[in-house]
Amino acid sequence: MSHVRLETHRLRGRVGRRTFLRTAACVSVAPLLLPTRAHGANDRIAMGVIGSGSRGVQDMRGFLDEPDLEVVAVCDVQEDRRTNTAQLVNEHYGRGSDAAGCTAYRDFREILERDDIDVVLIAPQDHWHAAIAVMAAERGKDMYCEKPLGVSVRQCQAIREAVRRNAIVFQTGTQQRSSGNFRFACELALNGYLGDVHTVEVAAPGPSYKRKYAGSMEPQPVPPGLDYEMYAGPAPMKPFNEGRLAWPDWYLIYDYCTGFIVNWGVHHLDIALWGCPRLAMEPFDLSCTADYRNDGLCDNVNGWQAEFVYADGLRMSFTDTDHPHPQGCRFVGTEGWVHVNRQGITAEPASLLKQVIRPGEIHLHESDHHQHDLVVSVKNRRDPVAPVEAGCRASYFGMIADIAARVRRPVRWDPVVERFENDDEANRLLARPMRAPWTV
Amino acid sequence: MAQHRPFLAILVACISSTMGLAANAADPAAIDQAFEQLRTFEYGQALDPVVLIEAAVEDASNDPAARADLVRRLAEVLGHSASPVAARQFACRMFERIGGDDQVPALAALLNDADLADSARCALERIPGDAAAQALRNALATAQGALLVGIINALGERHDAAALDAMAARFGDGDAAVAVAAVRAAGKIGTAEAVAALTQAQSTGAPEVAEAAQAALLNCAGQFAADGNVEAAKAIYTPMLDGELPHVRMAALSGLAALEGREALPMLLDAFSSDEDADVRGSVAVLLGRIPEAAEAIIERLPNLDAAGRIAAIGILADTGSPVAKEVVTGMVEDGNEAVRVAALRALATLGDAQTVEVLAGVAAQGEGDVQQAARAALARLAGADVDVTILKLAAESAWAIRVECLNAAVKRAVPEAMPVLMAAAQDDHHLVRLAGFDGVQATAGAEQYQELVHLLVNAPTTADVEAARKAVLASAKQVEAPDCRTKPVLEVFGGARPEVKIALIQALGTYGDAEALAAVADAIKDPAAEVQDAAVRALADWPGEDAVPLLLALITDPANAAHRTLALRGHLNHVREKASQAPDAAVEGLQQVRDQLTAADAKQMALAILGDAGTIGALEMAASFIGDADVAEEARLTTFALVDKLDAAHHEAVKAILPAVAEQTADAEAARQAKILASGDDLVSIFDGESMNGWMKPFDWGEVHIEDSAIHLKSDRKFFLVTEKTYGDFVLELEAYLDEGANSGIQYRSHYEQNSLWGYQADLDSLPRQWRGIYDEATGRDWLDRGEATKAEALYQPTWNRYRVECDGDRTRFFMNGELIVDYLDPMEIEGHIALQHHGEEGKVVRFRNIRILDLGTRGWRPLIDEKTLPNWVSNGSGTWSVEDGVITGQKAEGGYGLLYSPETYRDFCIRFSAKAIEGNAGFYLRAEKLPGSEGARGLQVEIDPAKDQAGLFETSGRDWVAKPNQDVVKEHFKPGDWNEMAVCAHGGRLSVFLNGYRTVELTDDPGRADGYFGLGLHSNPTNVQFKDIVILSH
Repeated sequence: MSHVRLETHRLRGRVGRRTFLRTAACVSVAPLLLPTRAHGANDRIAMGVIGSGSRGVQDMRGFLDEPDLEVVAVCDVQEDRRTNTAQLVNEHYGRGSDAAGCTAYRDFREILERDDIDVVLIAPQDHWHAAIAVMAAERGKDMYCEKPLGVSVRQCQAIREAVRRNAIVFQTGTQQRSSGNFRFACELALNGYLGDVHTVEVAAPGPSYKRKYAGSMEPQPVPPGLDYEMYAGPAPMKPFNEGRLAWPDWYLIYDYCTGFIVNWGVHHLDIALWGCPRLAMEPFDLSCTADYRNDGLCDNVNGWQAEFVYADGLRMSFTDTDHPHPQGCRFVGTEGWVHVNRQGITAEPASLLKQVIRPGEIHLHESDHHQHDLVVSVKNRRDPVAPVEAGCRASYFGMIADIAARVRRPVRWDPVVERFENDDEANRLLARPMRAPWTV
Repeated sequence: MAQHRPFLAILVACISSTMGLAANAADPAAIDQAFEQLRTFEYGQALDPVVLIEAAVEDASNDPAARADLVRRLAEVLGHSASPVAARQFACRMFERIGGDDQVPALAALLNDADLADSARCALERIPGDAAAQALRNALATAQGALLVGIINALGERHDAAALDAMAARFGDGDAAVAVAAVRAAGKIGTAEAVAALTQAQSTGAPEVAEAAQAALLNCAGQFAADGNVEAAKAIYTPMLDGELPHVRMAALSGLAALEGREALPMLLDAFSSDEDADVRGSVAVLLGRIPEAAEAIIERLPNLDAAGRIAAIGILADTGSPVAKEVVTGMVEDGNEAVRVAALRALATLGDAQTVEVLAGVAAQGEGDVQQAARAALARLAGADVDVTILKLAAESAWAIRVECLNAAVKRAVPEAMPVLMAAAQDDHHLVRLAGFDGVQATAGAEQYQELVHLLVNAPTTADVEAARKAVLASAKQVEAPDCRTKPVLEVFGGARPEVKIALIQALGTYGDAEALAAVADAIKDPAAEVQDAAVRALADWPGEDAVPLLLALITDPANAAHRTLALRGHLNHVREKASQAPDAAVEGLQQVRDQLTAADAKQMALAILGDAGTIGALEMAASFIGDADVAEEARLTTFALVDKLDAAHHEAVKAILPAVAEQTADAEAARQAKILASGDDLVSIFDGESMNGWMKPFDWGEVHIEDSAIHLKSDRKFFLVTEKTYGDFVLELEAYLDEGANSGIQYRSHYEQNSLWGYQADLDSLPRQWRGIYDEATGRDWLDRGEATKAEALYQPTWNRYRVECDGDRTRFFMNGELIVDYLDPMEIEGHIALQHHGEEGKVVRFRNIRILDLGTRGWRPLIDEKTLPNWVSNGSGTWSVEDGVITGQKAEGGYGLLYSPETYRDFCIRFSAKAIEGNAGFYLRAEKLPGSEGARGLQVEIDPAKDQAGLFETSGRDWVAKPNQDVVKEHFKPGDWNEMAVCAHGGRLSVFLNGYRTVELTDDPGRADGYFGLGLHSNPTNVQFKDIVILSH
């Protein structure tokens, strides 16, 4: 391991963080009790982007138009990705493609070491999320972290604990929360407009995603410009093959993620838990059947059917799309249902959709832009719309369903200690070792 | 499984029947075979054995004996040193999940194995029990580097208290990575001893060790706090309050605040007032908000706070929800700082009550920008008893601006009983109150308000009122169930209404669409007011359904009013368009009814679009009738030929009948030529006189030729050809041929010969059902180019005379048999040569030809697209540098983005050839590209050019990415990496073929991508060095 360490570390003293609240309004005639520092034109949130593949760049674009934030660094293990992204950023800020404003790094630790960076966007492959997020938290970086929060329950928990014990502001990349339809569906459920919610049906795509790389599985020379050691990171080291880098191929390989039951499932599970919080707070019996891929290098879960059953009969049914549930999240109550996905929202009776959530009722955190919501939250040090606890649970709900399928028997989940009751074998699957030197 | 849950049983049944999932365990023989394969399993092999064994391990979850057997067999593989690394890594991975004490010795031994040490360590990390822990601890003594870090990490993950001393001993390790790992592990172990060691390291360790120790101590504190060991946690946090790093102070403050509750108040107030970091103060404000007593203390400090402090204070007051908070925050609505005012207004959304309504409405009425928005949002969200009542009261009686705000708020809040207030407001004396009233009614009106709203519309005092009332009427009408209850009230008031009201009423009637409404609107065409007439015609043009069509047709031919004619025609065309795909004949008829009135260019364009969708012979006839019309010649040509392509196969004769007129009328030479080819038949000229071999030659030393019954008879026991003296480029050839059964023959075209040999394209003629009736490339090495529709050809074949037709036009060849198309092929290689007739050499078999006729359409040429002279006209974009020397164009780029060289003009359909040599980096040849600004550079298809792979595939930049990977067999066989490769592209509409050194790599038949655009040379990598030459395009 090459431990990256900048010499300036000890010199920085107490000048680590920007001073946000000091805007032009500081020119106040009132006596000032609070100590202040001079602040210049560059007093903006500085962001580093870790993982500038298509998703990372897409996330980043949502930050580029934020007037109070500036992307100052990007990192990727693929050279062309990081140089192209740095260039994109520089051009966006009107600096010309070869300007020095945005630095490109191969090793994310160089970004974490930079004291002038306040926030990091974490969007590499899933197997990297936890190692990076925990290190970032310990360096005091606020975060926008792509979902899921790791590849094991233990990793999700490690991110959550590191974020909380280091007082970090953290937005999970479950961006459906920043969309009005999803929020409204949850508010209908939470405010009793559906009657008593007794069933939640969730479905996400799975088998419809097919691998793209169709060539030989033989080991291949690592392409120039790719740091494959850093790509593999905490995942088992296996000889390079293009199929490990292609998308959605890596999303279908267990070494790099749990599979679509989590990767896509997390989005609608997150909505389910947002609109029906009991699902995550009460013990439940969980049964899941699944089939697994054996297609080239792809070996993780393909289709799945999971049932979560609670003491009073509340149940959540979670399947891959159309087997049998339609894609999205449906809350079913004694007086109606609402179904929501990215394509739209439907309800029975349809008049539910015209319902106005009244003052005094439960109003969920209102955000219509996931990135902007983080910027606001970083400034006021409050939780954004998709806080780490929500990201953690939504991520691991799919993982424990995968575990239930793998042990081929019903299991029972204790949400307080976050372990299976009386099932050592299932509990053993809650963690996955990381390849040295990485850890959480 | 789970019989007590019936839904699950159903679910499982449903899965196994519909998805065919592997729910059942694999049979023992398959598992045996998988283990056999595992013994030689290497990376690169199919995953079958490991996937199957993993499934077997999972299947055995509920069968201890089977599981034990699998563990034993995996242990065998692991223990066998001849097993490949991949197999043993897999065994380790399985033991992470199912290994036990029995596996520990073997795994421990592997900690010395260069390839397997980390995999073995991972397994030991997850094996429960002290044996595994002891093995890891033992290995600490000898392990080094990454393995040592891995072992330390594993012991940390195991919270192995027995390893603490060993960890502490490493805090000063010379390898920083080892030291930091040991510190992290100690943090996870989290005992009092760990804290002591970490505290020491924090103050005396190297910088990176000290910082890691701080993080580790926070980890210990978090664990202590979770376990209820409050004092131990506090002992860690308290000294950190003085930490150098802001986030450490934040962590300590938030940890202590959680432990101490109200007791933390003085500490937090102190930090709020004195911490120098704004983020720390912001975090502290959030913590203070959780302590109710904080409110008063903060209020005391308010006068001394700057704006940022006051905003934070407002947050604290809002969070505490204390009763005094409301008063104080209400006062801050008057603050001198706008950001503070906005924060106060936002906080009032939760702090405020009925008494706050007037304040908020006042600010909403008078404020601007963010302040006004915040006030309005708060007014909409304000909770508590009597808020709604207060809002309605103010909406009914107060200053007009306040009333407007309260009316809007009542609607946003969905206040019950608001309708009477809104209806009253709609009749108020103040115009803005009226508009707010109408807006509110529009948002919430039911059927009950309909009649009254119609009357309000009739009596609306101003134009703005008419518009607002009309919208309210329409919203209410949607709730009225019986159609006559909608129309009747309107008709009752219609006659007496003033013109602008009539117009609004006509618009309402137009959306109702019933017969009575139609009659009234038809009458209104004769209204004395011209603007009412116009509205009536507009309503008819947009009338739902077909009922208004007769009226529209009458208007279209009415000479009186040109504007009405245009409106009516547009309405009619909209109707026709709707049925173009469902009822194409009716659509074409609808267009024919107004053919003479289609005089404006936009109407003609719309008609052509409809005809294209209709897709019938009638549509083709009509589209062709526009082809000489200068207004729409281009659209007419594209539509006509799209229809010809679509209809030709099924309606060849009908299409053929239409084409001569097209050829005559079009101003486009290419189109005229295409029409002429398609229509040709009677105008073909004989090239065999039936008596002599004039015009033909036999450059072979063998083969018999004689003429019998005006037919050429060929006989031979060796392959030979009868060749025309003349050469042909583009042509239409028809002939009849009769092959003895067992014989093969062919029509050569664009071919070349020497004595006793001949090569070139051949339309293959055959007498047997063996799929030899396509296009073949004779004696060039390329062999079959396209086998065509073999089954169709077989069905068409007669064992006597058959009619054949070959159309050769540029890069396209069409081959017909007995009037039916059997091959349609694009090829970029040869554009001119001889025609020849083949005898394939079947001994004793006769091949006969007669009625050989041709239409000679001349020969095209290859025109350079880019050379020394034209290079300056090409447009460079991005960071590439371009030069040309001796006909070779070199594009280079050192770093940064893309480099592009665009053609000066755009191209739609073409055949282009070029040579490319990728010396370094990835490049592409763009087709039909769009220039994009900024970093993206181009959107469109590019022919992939690469030093190593995927040469001659099609990739769409800024679009679909890979549209077609190249045929890998062709790439493997014919691609010359790093050398010159000859590329070609044939593009005709959605048909695209790409060729690499003469062989087709991609064929798309219906690509939906861009129809035209620029050519471009593109450089993509950093660095890139690519050369192009001989870029030529097929031209007349």
